[in-house]
Amino acid sequence: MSEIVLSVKNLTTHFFTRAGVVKAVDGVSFDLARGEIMGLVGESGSGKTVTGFSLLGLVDAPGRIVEGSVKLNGTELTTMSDAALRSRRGREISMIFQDPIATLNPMLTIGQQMKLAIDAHERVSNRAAKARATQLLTQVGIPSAAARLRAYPHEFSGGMRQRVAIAIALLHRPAVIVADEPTTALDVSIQAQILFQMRDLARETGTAMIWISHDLAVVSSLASKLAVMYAGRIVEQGPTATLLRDPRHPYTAGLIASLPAMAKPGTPLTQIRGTTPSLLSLPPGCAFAPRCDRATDRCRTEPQITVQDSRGWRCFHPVGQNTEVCP
Amino acid sequence: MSNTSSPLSRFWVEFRENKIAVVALVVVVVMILLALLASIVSPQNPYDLANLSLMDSRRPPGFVGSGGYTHILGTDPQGRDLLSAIFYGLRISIEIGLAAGFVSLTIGTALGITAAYVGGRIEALIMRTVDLQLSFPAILLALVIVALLGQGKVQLIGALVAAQYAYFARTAYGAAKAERGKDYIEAALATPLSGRLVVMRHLLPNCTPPLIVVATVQIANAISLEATLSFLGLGLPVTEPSLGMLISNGFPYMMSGRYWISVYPGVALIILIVAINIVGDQVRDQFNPRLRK
Repeated sequence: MSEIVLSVKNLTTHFFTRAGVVKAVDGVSFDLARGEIMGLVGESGSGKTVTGFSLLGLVDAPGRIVEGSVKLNGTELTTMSDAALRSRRGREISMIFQDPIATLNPMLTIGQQMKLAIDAHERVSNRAAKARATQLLTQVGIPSAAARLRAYPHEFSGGMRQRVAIAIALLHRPAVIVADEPTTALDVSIQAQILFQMRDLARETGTAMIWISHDLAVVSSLASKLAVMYAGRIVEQGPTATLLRDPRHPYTAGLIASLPAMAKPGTPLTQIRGTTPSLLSLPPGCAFAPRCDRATDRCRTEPQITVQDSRGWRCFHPVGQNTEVCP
Repeated sequence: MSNTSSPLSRFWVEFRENKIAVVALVVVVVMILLALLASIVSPQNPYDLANLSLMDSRRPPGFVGSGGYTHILGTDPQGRDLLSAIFYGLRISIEIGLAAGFVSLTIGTALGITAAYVGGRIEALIMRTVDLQLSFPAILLALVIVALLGQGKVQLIGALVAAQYAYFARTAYGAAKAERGKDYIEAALATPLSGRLVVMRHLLPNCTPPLIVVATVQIANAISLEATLSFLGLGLPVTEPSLGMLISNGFPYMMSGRYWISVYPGVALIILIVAINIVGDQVRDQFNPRLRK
């Protein structure tokens, strides 16, 4: 295994609302190696975005990281002062947001905004900033980049804007980029282009990425490993190919089965019955149990993580290991 | 659309499509020019008492007075040439309107954006004060302040600013609050960029469209508010009449058939205010995304 750039241990983020404590992220752990792309998949409300925000220390009140550790290149981020954290955001770890319209200032040209993003961390001459911006825009696939620096965001399409946002995230060659559903707002062909470019960029620059998405199909074409989240927990993680071929957690299996590509034409798509439980009142034990066909009484207690080779899952009755099912 | 058009040039291209607004803009520009060049285009300096002759007072339009030239719009009770008085009056009205408009724009914007940016107690304090003030009619507030401060240009501008900054504060606050929550501001604030830089480069420029709209309307309002105060006798000294003062001066003579003293300054005032409002409406329509095609 190559060098680990981001190490997350037992990350727990709770929101202390008037209605009660929302356990948005509940004991998430994973490691990310240099240049590695990890897909973080789950339904809406499964805690994937809050996980991303927690990594950068961007959780706002009433939310708070209650426990756990986030180590970036060996430095602990969760206990860091706000000023120290700010000096790392954008330089060592950056984020790409879902909505490419809101991520760019409509009143400034792309060049001005990229210069501001550089200024946040470094003193560079205008010329050097321009050269760097041009180079990165070219890298993310924007044609005649030098001329486009003088354009305003409204003169770009959604896909182009997202590329600009990606280029800005790459400006300081961060060790880790957290991408929160960056291609959800784009159409499929643009999505594919950007995905392939991101994979190349990660390889070239050695930047590791966490790609947050609800779309298993998109992530699996990009990420070398997957983490599946359900109700604030990672229920299964492992190398993408293994996980897709041979899922262990019934939820992962359900997600794969519900992919449209898995369906026979003319037949209804497979669904996972029920809906995501409210994070305010999670069922005891395995949160997925009420929707799970394999659930037994034992599922009312918390299943521990089973580790096997490079993968792990959190289930008493894993798929494909029927021998372990209790009587 | 051209490849690298600035927002300003696109704005102008769209503005030109509305012919009425263009005409109104021309009217505004002409009136500002007349006001600026009042000392050149006027037949008489109405503020120089040595020029005035009481023999010429309250003469109808077309009267040839002791100065030897025709009073095209007649004369007022002090024997001033009304046309000259209107040009000079326009100068005062526009001057006070612009000064009050810009000072309240600056103060109001600063307060509104501070409230939205800082939040918490300061936000509550500023915005509740503004709310409280907006619950009084502007004219009442201006009246009280002028009455307290006394007459004079600075006092008058001060009163108008006190009455009007609240509108700007409200608008700036609303725009800044909405913009504050957007990703690009949050992202900029998450980096070591100074708060000052974020406000100046990101927050403020994106709050300008609604502020420009309010500014055009409020300049027109300041002019009419000043005219109202002058009409009520709380404006500038009688020796330097603004449009409102001229209207007021002629008012006692309306019933005796000497309509021109009040009517012509009134017409000038109405044309100015209507023209500014038409321009303001067009600007507002262009900035309103809901009215966009």
